[in-house]
Amino acid sequence: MVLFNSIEFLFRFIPVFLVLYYVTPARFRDWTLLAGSAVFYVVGTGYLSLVLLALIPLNWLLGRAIYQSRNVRNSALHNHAFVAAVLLDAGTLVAFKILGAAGYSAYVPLGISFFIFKMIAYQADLLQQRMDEMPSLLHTALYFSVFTQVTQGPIMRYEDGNFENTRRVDLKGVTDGLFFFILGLSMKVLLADRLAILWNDLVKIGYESLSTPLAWLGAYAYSLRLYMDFWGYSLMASGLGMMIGFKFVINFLHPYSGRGIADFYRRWHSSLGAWFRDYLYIPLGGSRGGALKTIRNLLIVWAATGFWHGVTPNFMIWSGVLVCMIIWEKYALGPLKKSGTAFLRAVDAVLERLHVLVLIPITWVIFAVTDLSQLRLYMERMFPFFVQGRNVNPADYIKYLTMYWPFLLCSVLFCLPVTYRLLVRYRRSLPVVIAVTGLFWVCVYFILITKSNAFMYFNF
Amino acid sequence: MRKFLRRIFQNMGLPIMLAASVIILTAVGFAGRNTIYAPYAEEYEGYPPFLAVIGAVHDRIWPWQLVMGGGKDQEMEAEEEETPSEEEIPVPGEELVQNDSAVEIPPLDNSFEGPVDGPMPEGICNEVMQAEDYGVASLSFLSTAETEYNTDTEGMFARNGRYFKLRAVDSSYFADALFIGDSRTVGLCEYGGMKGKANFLAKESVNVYNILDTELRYTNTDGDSWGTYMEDVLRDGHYRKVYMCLGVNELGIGTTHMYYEKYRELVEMIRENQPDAIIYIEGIMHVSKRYSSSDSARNNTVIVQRNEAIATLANGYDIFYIDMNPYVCEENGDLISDLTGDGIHLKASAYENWDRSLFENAIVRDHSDYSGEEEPVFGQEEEESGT
Repeated sequence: MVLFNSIEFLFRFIPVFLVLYYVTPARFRDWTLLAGSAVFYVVGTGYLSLVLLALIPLNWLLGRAIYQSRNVRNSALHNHAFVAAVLLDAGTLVAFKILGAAGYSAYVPLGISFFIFKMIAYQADLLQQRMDEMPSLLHTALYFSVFTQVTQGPIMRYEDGNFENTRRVDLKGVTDGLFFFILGLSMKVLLADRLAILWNDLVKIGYESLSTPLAWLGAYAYSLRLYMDFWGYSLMASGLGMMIGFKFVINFLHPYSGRGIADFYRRWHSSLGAWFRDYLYIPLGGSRGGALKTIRNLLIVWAATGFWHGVTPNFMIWSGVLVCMIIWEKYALGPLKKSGTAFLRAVDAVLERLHVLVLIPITWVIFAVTDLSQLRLYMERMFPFFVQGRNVNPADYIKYLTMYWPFLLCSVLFCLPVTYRLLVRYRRSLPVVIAVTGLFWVCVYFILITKSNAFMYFNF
Repeated sequence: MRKFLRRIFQNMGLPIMLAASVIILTAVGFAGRNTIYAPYAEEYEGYPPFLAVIGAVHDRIWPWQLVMGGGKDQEMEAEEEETPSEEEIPVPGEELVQNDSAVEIPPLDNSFEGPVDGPMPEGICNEVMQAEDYGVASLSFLSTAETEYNTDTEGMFARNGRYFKLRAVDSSYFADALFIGDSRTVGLCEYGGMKGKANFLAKESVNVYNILDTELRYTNTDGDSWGTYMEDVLRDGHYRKVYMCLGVNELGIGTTHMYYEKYRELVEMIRENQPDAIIYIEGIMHVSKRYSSSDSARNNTVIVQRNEAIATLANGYDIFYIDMNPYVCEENGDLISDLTGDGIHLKASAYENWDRSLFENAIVRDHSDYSGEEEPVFGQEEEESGT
């Protein structure tokens, strides 16, 4: 039921919940939402919900200690409470990450990475007095556990939840929320899940036997699949949020139109990127302490990002490559950008585009293949200069292009900002309304005939 | 008024449209709940009735068949009968006894209780079988000495009749062979050494239940390939050897007995259309330990049961059971993990093992089967039976 693309969620949980939510008088809706979230989470993760249940009051108590001592100069309590809260939350996350890495992933509570990040953000925002008043226990619990975000984010900020004011559910919000939800569902079910089959076929063939064009096709198909999967999820989550009365949370801002890797990651999973920026990079000093300190801070942030995604060495390589490229962009290409000559600026612009369109797909392969020896085989096929493949069918890519080009093409179209913008602009026009309704039923069809496909970010 | 409606649509177009489609589909589902949607209503019990309407589309049952009449209904019912649903979990042990045909098939003795981690049952696929030892694959299916067979597709390994030893051949043997199968055979066609030396008729995800209705891909020895149906190929072509490798997509669908019955029908159909072909029943290749232990319906225990069942279709004369598992499995019967990426299929680089099992385990009855360099060796018992 915890998958937004499961029939249990679509045809049992959500209709029942929404009806109950809408008939509840506005001032009691927080309770309906909390009860719905509790049902959702307990069904999803069983007795492991106790972890979240325990962390909510503890964080609230520590947060209140921080809040109450806010005006006391040099208050020991103020800092100690914050340190205690961070140790508690981060310690819990690290402990469960290690447990999961040790093969006990069945004992890791659902969505722990995401609600722990919210908890740390909550404490830091209280410490830095970004909140006007102390949140009530009810609102705190809602913020951490709201079912639209508890499994995979987005990592909303407490302030953006606007919990203190009564949420207004208006028809426009419901309509738009429904639009984003179905759009996201279509990306997930009709594109990401189809492209997933292509990747499974590469695994089936064995990386050592891929033709070089197929290895590259696989890298791009995986990149598109991950994008459609996670952006699709995020749109669904934000759409559901709108239907309940929250504002739209942006998690993806057309990353593939980004200029350079740093820009890509400002746009990709931006609620996570912003979290690392605000609660790790800037507290470490950000980029204000000179080049060496900036590089140190970047290395720390990306080491943490790598660890957060997984403890296998491929994630360290992945984040290592990215941080090197970000440093290279900042200190080697940065001066080009600022230089007066148009030629150098053009060189910089071309390089930055190449980073996004060529290098990023390669890094996604590193991200995807967790076994290093397998990763090496894949890389040898992408760059076949030293090693010959084994039993390669040189025309294999034609077969897969013939089979998958419609899905690849649609996904590429979604990489262009204009597609999404046009859809959003004309979302209320009759043709789009009819098309979106039709898409919904096509999605339902595919959900019924295929076995459940979990979202990729469920693993993190 | 018009302006008002326009504003309503502006604000609520999508919910209205969605609600309207829900109402229509619900009405359709409700109207057909006892006729065309009956089986689906059962499948999606506890969900809104429109799911049955959507689910039925997969079986090409469209809402307008509600009004267009009954002929379709009967057709569908017949189909329903033939195609077992996934919910029917195999009940080993009993299923083959229920068979009331002339052949007496003893019950399977290994009971099935979820995934297995232990060793495979004794005698299965541990080594390549010699012709006279076919029965080792499935001792429980051996017929007793005086059993008489009424048709060609009945019977066991024909211990008391003529039979032939498996022997090694070169690739020329396969020039008049047809390989029929699912995604595994597609892989053999694309990555095996037989590419361009044999004919293939295969398609991803086909099984014994749907293979006759599915458009398959035919690839001939010139490497040309086109879509066609099994019936047409068997009717129009002429093959001296027909290899059949089906069974992995059936795991989790139907019982072993249903699988066996369908398999037998297919073998009979091949026999009828290709009277002088050697029919090879290829045992289902096992899956990896990791895959086998993660799935209660698709594991090596069930595969072994099913192989035992289809092995009984061999008659040791023109229908043979061959098994590639010794070439790709560990001693305990699990598919060697280095040979597979997904646990079910051989990697491209591992198809040579399947090739080898085919090259080393062929039947040669006379020169028209194979005119390789070596003289064909005839089974000893054949000479005896002649005396």
